[in-house]
Amino acid sequence: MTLANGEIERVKIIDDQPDAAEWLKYEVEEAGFEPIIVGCPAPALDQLPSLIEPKTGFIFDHLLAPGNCATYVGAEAVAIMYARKAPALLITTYAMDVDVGIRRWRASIPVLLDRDAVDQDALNAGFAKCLRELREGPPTSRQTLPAIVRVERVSSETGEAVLDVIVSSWNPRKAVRLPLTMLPTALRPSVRLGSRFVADVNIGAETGDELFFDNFREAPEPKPNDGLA
Amino acid sequence: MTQPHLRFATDILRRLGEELIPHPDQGIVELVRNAYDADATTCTIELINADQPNGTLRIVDNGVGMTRGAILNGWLILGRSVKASHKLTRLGRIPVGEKGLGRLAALRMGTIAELITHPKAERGREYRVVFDWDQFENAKVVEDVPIPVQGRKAPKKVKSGTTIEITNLRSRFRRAEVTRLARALLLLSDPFEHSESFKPILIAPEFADIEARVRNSYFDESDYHLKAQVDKNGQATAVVKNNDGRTLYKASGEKIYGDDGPYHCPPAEFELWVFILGGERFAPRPVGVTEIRSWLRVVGGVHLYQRGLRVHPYGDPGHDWLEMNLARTRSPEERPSTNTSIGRVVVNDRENELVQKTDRSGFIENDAYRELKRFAQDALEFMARERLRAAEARREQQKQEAPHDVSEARVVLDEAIASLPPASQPALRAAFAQFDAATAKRQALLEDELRLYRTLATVGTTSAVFAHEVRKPVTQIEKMAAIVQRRIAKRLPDAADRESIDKPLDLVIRSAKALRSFARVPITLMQRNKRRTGHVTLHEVINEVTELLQPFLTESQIDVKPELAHEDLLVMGSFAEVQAVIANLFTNAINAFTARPTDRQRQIRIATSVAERNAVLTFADSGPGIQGISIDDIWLPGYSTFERGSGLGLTIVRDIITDLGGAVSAVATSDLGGAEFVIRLPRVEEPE
Repeated sequence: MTLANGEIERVKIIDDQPDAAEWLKYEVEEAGFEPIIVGCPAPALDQLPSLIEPKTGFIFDHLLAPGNCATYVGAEAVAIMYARKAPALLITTYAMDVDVGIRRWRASIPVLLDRDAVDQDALNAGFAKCLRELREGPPTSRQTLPAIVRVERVSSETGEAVLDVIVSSWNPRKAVRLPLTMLPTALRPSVRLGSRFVADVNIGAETGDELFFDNFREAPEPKPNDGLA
Repeated sequence: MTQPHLRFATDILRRLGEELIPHPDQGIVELVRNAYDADATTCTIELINADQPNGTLRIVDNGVGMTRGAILNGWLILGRSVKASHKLTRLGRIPVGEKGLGRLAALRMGTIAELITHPKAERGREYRVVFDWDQFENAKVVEDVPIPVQGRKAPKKVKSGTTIEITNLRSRFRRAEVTRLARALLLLSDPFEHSESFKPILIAPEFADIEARVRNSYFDESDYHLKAQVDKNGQATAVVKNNDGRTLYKASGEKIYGDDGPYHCPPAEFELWVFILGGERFAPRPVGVTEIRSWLRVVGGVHLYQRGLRVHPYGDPGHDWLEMNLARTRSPEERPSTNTSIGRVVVNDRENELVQKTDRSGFIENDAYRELKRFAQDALEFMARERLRAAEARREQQKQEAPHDVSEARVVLDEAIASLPPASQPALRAAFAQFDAATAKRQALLEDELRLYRTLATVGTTSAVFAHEVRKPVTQIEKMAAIVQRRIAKRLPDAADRESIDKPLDLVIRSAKALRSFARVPITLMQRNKRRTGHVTLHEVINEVTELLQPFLTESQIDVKPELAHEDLLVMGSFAEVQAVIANLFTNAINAFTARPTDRQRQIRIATSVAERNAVLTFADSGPGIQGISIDDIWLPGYSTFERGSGLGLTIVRDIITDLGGAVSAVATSDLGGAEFVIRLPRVEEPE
């Protein structure tokens, strides 16, 4: 089964761990593509587009810094590829990366694969989904609508300020974590427990990991007579 | 032939005026700032019937007034970015300079605006300019409406100054607007200095009330006073004093700015007065905490003064430009918030490095502004760091002094007993000896518990690190074995040959999978986001823990039977707490099954139900039951009947359940044959 095989013939792999890249090479091969390992150090962020070639897909590991492969994260690299309509998958090992390191780029990441879930089927399905989105635009679950975002908690995670927010129109009971830097500088001073903002959110997302936020703005004051009484 | 030139439709006046600057107080403040530039010492703002339709606003100052030339070449030109002059005014002020768009917004607040000015430079002259905004409504372009500057002889004895009267006000000034305006005017000229050199006065009852609160000065009651400066070379100094004026901490240079280096902003001063608003702290003082709170509510926050005048909106309610509240939320200890402090950043900015935004919503965030903000935030950080260090030292000292305090108390007690009649002394001594023994036992238990917690915390973090690191290679082993298996299947046609390699590879894959599952346990339990307090869905936790521990359960051949209520049960707490309860009950059961095997089929039943306002969780197993220890003692820390047990699992269960406002009880032998634990937790109703 090689769903994406017609449109993608080779896949470039960027992983900071040589063994992990080697394993991915075999998985890519099994999926029916020609694997190419892009060695470390990977090209600088502004040079990444030079890797783009016809009928070529990409697999980026999210954390590229531990093996001294790049100063950026895979999520940012996938977002750059997305902007240039190049199909790219992101692989992550640790769920905690999704909240902060990946969330800010999530709108430009059509497919995020857990390392455990990677196999030939997942790669083919992933590339097929990616190509579809690049061709037809995002599916319903990745389309944004204005939503009220309520701050539940402000804390710090590995030195970075993070917010736990509730998006009631997505799930009124589940808090989602995101970095404070996703809010425009001017709004940050207004952040406190219980403060509300409006943002464009893909409220059709199935899980909190898939949620992304854009265009944060001040929430208008509630009207005393909103017609709901 | 007339050269064509750019013209503006009259609509542009609305866009640049009331639409750009929607709050009238900002426009009025700009007129008052013009009065400051004109060397006025007073500026009176009067609202006449302004709470009714078609009211009037009058602004009168005693400045130097304007000549015809000043009106034509300055006041009537809107939007020109007037650079502040290096030349001081006659009173030694640095002109603040404005673009005039706030002025436009203010003048357009009514249908007619009239300016009457008496220039000091032309004694006995009066100039009058009238804007009839209806004329602009009917005109096509702005230039079509002439604005004559009428000059005439001034009435006798009129002193220099300017009066602006705006009539037929389009909106009413209600209490909220007047209060906002009063606060803006009172804070406009630095109230920290008690300077009377420029005094805007609003004639309105709300003003007196707010003025009384603003003018109240409680600076002497502050607990900490931070004073920081940055000079023209970007070098900074900072000093923190206590309530007695004694220097507590001071620093300069890189101890403030750190690795980011000196500041690239205009020279500035930052002062902050911090109040510890605990009732106890204020008890011995003449001023009540309520008064201070009320004062801080009006004037609190860090205000920004440029050339002696306040720049809106820094320090306004909800505009925490130094992100003090955010910093406090992230690390609350020893940090001030905008509700517990008042401060000012004063900058003269002779080089015009700070540029105000056109809509009067503060400065453009250029490098100079960002660096000024960095300086103030670094000064705050310096103070927080030093206070935290001092708090830590205080705690350490208290810890050191605690045994000494106990010995002293013991001496006092012995003396008190010795002073009693000899007959009653032995009984009292015996009673206190018994009390001492009980206290010592309890303390020994607590210390033992603390040591155990520390050890287990170390084990926990270490195993999480190990699990974290092991996950990637283990996944690779499993995946590579599967690839090898598939490739062999393609290349070895003989089934027997394939099987001889397939079977060991199956074992490799199964072992890697098991290892990966085991590695997931500490990582999942340590997940930071699970420690957030909120509503927790009991069933979600039960399902996750059961799935997480499945490899252990499978290995021990334990069958788990969930009997969960149909409705979702919500409790208040953190996912991690509820997870720890269930994980510990599972571990306890697994230990029981393996430590004392029985002939019964290994089963765990987790049932949930609702009883009144409680969610009830029953956890029963078919193991050996509670043996060799009384039911009451199973909760004690360090007590375990299993060789491999830490003796802390059930203590943790009890402590967490108590913290969550619930109760836990145990039954030695349940209908399944083993132990049963019944947990009751207050149930949270589903949100609407």
